[in-house]
Amino acid sequence: MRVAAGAQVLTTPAALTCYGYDSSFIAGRAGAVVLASSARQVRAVAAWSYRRGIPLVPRGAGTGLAGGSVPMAGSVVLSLERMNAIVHVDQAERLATVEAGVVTADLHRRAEAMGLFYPPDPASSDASTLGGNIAAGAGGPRGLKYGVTRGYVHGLDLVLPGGEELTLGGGVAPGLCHLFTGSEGTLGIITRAVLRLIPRPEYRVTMLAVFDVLEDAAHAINDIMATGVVPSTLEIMDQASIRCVESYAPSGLPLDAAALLLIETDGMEKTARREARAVIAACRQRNARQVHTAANPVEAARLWKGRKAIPAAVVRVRPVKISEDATVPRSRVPEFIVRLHEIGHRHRLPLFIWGHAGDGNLHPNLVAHPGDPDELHRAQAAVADLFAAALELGGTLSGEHGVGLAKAPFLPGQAGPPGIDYMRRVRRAFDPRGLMNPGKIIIEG
Amino acid sequence: MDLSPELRRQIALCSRCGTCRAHCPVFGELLEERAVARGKVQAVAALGRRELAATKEIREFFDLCLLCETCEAGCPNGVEVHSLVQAAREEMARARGVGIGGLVLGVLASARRLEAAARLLRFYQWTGAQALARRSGLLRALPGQVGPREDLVPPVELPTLARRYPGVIRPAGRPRFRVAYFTGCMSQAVMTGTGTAVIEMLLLCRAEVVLPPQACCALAIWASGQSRSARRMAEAHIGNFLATGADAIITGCGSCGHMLQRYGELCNTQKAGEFSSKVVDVSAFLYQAGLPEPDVPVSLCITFHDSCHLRRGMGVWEEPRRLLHRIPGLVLAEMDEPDRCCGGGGAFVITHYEVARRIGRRKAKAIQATGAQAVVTGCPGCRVQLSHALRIHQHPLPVYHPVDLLARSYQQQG
Repeated sequence: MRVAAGAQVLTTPAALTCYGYDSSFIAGRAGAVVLASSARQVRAVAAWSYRRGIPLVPRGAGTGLAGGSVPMAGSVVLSLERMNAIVHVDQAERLATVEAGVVTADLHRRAEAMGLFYPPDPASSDASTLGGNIAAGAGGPRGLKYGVTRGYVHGLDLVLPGGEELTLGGGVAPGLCHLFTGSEGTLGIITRAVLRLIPRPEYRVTMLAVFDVLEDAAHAINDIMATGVVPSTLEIMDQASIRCVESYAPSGLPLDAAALLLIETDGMEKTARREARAVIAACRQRNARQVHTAANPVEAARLWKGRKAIPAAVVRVRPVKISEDATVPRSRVPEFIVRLHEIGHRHRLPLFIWGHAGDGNLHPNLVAHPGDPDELHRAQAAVADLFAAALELGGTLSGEHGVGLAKAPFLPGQAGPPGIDYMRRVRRAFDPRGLMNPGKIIIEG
Repeated sequence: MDLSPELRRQIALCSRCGTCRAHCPVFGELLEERAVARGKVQAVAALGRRELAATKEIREFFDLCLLCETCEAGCPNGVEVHSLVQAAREEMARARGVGIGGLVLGVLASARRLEAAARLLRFYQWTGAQALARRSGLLRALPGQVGPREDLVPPVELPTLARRYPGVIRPAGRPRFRVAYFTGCMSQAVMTGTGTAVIEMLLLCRAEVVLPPQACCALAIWASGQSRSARRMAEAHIGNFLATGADAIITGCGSCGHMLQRYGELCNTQKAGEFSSKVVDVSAFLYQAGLPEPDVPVSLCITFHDSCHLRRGMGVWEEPRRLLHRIPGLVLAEMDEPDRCCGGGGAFVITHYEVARRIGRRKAKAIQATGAQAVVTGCPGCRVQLSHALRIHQHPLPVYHPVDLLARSYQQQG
């Protein structure tokens, strides 16, 4: 297969195995893999695949949680991981021009070294690519105050199905940029992005509030927001998560707590401290047993350690982890948590809840044994119930992971037939032959 | 490939999060998923499901790993990647044979063969054949970058350490410890000065040093998938070293030490466990044994490179730095990512020269940026690769073992 001079083409069994998965529990097998090093090569691959009628699956680092970059049989995986240059950071304009394959944490580091800040910080930042973040509509704990990736996309260079190039942004049809943010590789391939940066917050206060009653913690979230303070982070961990993570990587979290809130305020030192005081008062008002404030960055890192280790800890209970990001309006979080526990109970499955509670974006995680068909079946049923509960509470299937393959069967339940039809028409407008990442977001046929 | 319950457990621990992409030095250069641990883990799973077979491509795929364990240190789920890669390599060796490279490693299997190999190499270097080969352009003319690889061959120093010393070396005064010194191939026949310095420093701590009969630690043979041969070599060492009744088994090489610590698991006997529990790196031993304060100044600005197997394998990184800190006049300028692999990886630098060269270039740049006059590292394997990387980066610096500098600082006391 010769498609573009310079692009490496892999067709051997090991390569096809290595590009058949992402961080979800879904796996597939590509027909071939192309490692592109330039937009020119991407163009050539897109033109070639369209001419031949071969489905194309763009891929960043393969750290998605919804199967968005998992190839359907016979498709060509177009990997952008080699396009990893931070082209330019404009300090005066606070804009970063990056290739699609730049690792998120690399931009974090570069920006922070210049006194700037790129807020979106999905949990996979160390490995994930910015192109993948944009395509998935990635979020992260800082989303509450700073918003998610969508808010930072200023311009995009795209290769459309068929190989045509398109540059969006800079005041030209800026709304179209947002159409591509969260499009999961179904409309075109992002090769380069111009991202907004903001000044780096000078000070940060990290707090851990301990609650004896789960509902109190859930209500405290709304109480905090009602004070007018917008914390930069407002994370919840339920008791199952606390106990699980403490048995795996002890960091001194209280095992008898029903729930913990990990909260950060940031900005100018004075403001951040004042806001922290308001947060602490709101937590105490809601019967927080204790609110611990980190005295320094080392202590703050210790408080974060437990939260960050939860995903690794729960797979020790049972290896198949079904990680969801169903999101509900903030005011419905208390109710949602109650419903989630009922669902875990009903299907007799270990359920762990943590996540970005401040913006209603919870991460209910179910774990199951791979060798137990009955348990896997119950897990599927539980996921369906979980989505139904989120939608009933006026929420959405996905806060930040995207729809991909994992949630495609549930999307009609949220979007309804007109919604699906409209999405399909938008998609056809860009991709009349249906060759861009087929089977993702919308199930065809 | 049949997967043991333990291998299945390890595979199940991998949640495919991809964090290994942020750590793998090979991925850092090649930028493709085939290099990273996640890919290896999924490929072992696929071998178990018979979706992949023991082909030449799969063998090469599993050979593309430094066994540096950087991914493991960064893995949030604690997957023992090296065990999975090793199991796959054993399967490849079983199904496809060990190949010429694997057979060549056989010279390392006994003290006699090792001595003979050292003499042969010494002959090549002393007769001027090496100089001739280098000057004549013959090496450049050979295919497959034989020329640059040949630069990696360090000068052999004869006689070997074993022939320079008696079996037991006594300190001045009443011995406080009895230790057995595992020299490793490099200190035995190449960097014999370092081997001598190790012995001198141990004597300074009033340790009685025993030099039992020994060959290669077996890491290279083990890593090539020949675990049965490795086990035979391990058993010989276990017998010889335990017979000395030593309190500790000292190594001056991170890779040897890490391998010796693995004997317990490899041989799965009580004696092997006892042997492994006694293995201590020389810097850690000297630090704990209370080496007297050095007094001869060594005016040198150095930077310290952490060997993967010394730091992540044996957990030693503070002790050598603290020992060096005591030397008057010595300044330590830390480089960026001192624990990033240098790209040596034993046979890896020979089998994957181009990747190793690129990893080495990154290391050489980090070293150069410190402005240090010399590099110090606790592993002779790293030493060879670092010297080579610095030479081709046009920034040739001497590379020392910590004991080399310690020995200089104690010269007048000894």
